[in-house]
Amino acid sequence: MKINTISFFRHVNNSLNPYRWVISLVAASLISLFFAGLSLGNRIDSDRQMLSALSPYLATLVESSDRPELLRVVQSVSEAKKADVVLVQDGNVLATNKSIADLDMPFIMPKINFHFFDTDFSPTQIISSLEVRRSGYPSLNTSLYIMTPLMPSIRNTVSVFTITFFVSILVSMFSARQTRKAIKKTLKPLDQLHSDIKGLVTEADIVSEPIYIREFEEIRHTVNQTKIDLDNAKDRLAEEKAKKLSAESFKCLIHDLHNPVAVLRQRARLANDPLLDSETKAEAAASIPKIADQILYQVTAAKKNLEEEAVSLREANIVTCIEESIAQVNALSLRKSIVNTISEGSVIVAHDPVLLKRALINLLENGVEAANSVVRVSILQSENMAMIKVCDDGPGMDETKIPIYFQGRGQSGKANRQAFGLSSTNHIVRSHGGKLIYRKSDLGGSCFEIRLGVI
Amino acid sequence: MNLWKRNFIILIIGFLIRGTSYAEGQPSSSRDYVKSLFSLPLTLDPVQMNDGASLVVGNLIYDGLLKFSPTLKLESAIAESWSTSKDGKTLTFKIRENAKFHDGTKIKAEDVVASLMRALSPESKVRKYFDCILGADEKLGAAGGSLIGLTALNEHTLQIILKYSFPPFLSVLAGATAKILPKKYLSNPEFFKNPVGSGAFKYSEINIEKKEMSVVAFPEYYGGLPKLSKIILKESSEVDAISAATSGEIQDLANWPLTSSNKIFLIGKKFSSPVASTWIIGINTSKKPFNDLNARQMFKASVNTEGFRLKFYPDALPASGYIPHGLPGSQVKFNIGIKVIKPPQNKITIVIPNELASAQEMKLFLESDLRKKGWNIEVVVMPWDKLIDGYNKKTHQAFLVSMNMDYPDAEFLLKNFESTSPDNFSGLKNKKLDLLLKATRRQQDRKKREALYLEALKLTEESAVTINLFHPRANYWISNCVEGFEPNILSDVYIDYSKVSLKSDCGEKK
Repeated sequence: MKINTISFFRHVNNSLNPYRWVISLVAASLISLFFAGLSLGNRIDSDRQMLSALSPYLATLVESSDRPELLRVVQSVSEAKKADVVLVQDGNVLATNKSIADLDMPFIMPKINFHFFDTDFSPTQIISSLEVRRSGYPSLNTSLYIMTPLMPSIRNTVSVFTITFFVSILVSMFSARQTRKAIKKTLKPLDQLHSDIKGLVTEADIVSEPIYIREFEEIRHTVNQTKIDLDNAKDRLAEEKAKKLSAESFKCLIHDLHNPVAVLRQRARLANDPLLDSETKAEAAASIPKIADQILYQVTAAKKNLEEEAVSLREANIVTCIEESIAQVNALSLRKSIVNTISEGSVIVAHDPVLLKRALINLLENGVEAANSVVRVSILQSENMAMIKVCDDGPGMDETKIPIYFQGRGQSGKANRQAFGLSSTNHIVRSHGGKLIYRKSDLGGSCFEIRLGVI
Repeated sequence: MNLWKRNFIILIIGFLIRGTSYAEGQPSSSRDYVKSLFSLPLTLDPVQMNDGASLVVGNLIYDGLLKFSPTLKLESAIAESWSTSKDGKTLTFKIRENAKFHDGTKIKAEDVVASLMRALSPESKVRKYFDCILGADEKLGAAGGSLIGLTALNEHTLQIILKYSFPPFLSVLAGATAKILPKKYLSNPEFFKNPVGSGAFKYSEINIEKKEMSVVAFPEYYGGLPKLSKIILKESSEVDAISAATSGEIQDLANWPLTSSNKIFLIGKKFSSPVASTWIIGINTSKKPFNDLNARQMFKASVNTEGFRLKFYPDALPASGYIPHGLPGSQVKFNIGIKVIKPPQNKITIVIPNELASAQEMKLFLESDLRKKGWNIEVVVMPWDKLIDGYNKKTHQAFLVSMNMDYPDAEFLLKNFESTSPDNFSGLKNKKLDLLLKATRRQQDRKKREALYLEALKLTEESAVTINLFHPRANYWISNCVEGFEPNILSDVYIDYSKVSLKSDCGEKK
């Protein structure tokens, strides 16, 4: 089952999103409430501050009974505060910005809905009041009332709330954007780490740069060390395998020698069999040196193959190896084309690129030599096997002689090169734990299959 | 009449019970605004005005450099702006470039200089309010010439230099007598028969037989064209005025001291406000037995002032002192602490104007009350011209008057008691008081001035030259057809009629 994956950045971003919005909204609301409250508080406080500031001066005017001056002050305060101002002495209006008909008449306090922080709220007004007196002097029984219209204050407070809210949201959005950028930047070392880990399973020799984050750098270092250790382990494994394969090759050689030696014994018996006619004996005797030569040749070829450098297996993309081989042979083959039908981008197989390339070049050169016009290279991948096919449209080979060529006993004959290096190729494939198979090609000529185990 | 002139006291009386020809007169134009006055103006010369009717008319046809708002805020009038030097002695005024006299000529600084020079002339009734101008003592001649304290710096800039810093001087300039007249006409002795003013309304005509005067809107008024095209000022009695108002022939009874319970308020609009006024019984110290301080003090203590207020003007405030409520000095509540043991048996005559609607009732009240207390008292109800004549000649022992203020400062009323003042109706001579008043004029510190005033007022109260009856509360009746009317807490003289208008659908009389 395929898992839908998302990037780590997306994961972090998605994880943070709900909190970010909730925190933004809550923070914006709280900040807006704070500033709206501050605005209303300031308004009320400014009224009270003005009252306090005016109190001593008003007390002087009240003591002087200077109503004209009181009216001027009250009018100025009213205009400045855009509020009704009433000065009340002994329950009667001494000065007001409102109708002069109210002067000397009883002061009628508006109906108070609620009281909050020394301030009264009527349905239409915010009422601040203060006793007018000079510090240390007897009470004048006089109070000053500032009655601010409620609606403008409410409108102002709501405006402050709204503006602050939107500004806070904008700041939050900007902050979120910057956070996303920061997260991206923070995750960059992780990408590098990812590349380094990825390098563990790829062939590419990536030059790993140091990561400035200590934890990541330690992981990178561990990864690199692991990679080196893994390479070393692979080398050791390859050596072990090569030894094993060499032993296998010897076993094969011994096995391969069973038949010619048996033939040699048979011919030697025939040559000495008194029951046989002399011609048969002579023919048998004559074949003994030839068979002995073949055995010697086979042993020499096997020795030569075994003496060659040990295979060093690396898990790598075999397609690269094939393509390089084709390119090399193509450079020499001007008249015949090598058709690459490989579609897979990457087939990871444990192989020794140098040796396998040599084996492939052998097959390709033989193919080109034998082909009328075309040599086709393809690769098939099954679950546990990769199969490289090199087919040509040439005359094909005598299938009975294939084992002899594979064993290195047959004379390839330089004239047609059809069996040139097959023994070596067979040996290389075997040393990879694989198998070289000959078939008749659907193109009419030969078709060699290299079967290798897939990781 | 001299009483009201010399003391700058506005006698709000009311007065003639007898009907006038007004009710039978020719009906006015349906768009004319008719205002009732207790008297036609006695003069149209601002520096001669001291009766209420003259001041009302003067305020319509003349403007000053400054004016009072309804709540006594100083506002620019002919002077567009003004500034005061740090020492308070030099005042500089910028004259409006669009301010014009009624003949169309522009008002210039030299006109202001000439007008204020007139106020300082020997024949001026208001000289005492301007004598703080530098050079005023040296310049006692008639209008003309120059004065060191009055300088036209240029066509539109005027500088006034004072001998000493006198804080109420700006209020004096906003008062009803500091009016600006055209210099070029001032030498014409006939000028005030057909004056060229500077106010919102132009003098139109006066008809003595009809007891009627009219003013018309001045179209080039710097404050904009007044909304009323014409105002007719009608002399009548209180009873006739109320009757005419009820029938829709009069739109304005602001000149009358109505009580709030008057039935006229069942129709029309009522504007109620305090006014800077005190009703008193003045005492003449040159007449026996009031030449004796003890007798005056006992008499002062004997008058049932609160009973008088409650009976005749119950909506007025009790008189706590000589100075009207809400003005510096009004807080002086001085009790002379005299017990009336044995009143002198000299006959005492109190004169009251018979124009007062309740004059007879007042007479009975005062006589009954004081006789019970052992005083040999007689209250004489006297036509007001005779009353004023006796006042000027200082022949009355005691007299009932109303004291209004031309600017809101205790100085205005206290000046009456200076020994050298020709307006000293009481004949009081008190050197200490004179010194105190002199000192207050030069004192800029508010609290120190207040202390001096309080001391002076205590001296006045102690001298018992006034029996303070009450501080009236104005109840102005205005027709429902009238809009823009706004009372002024100084007095009805200062109501700004340039803002008053008549409703377009209210012109027809009933």
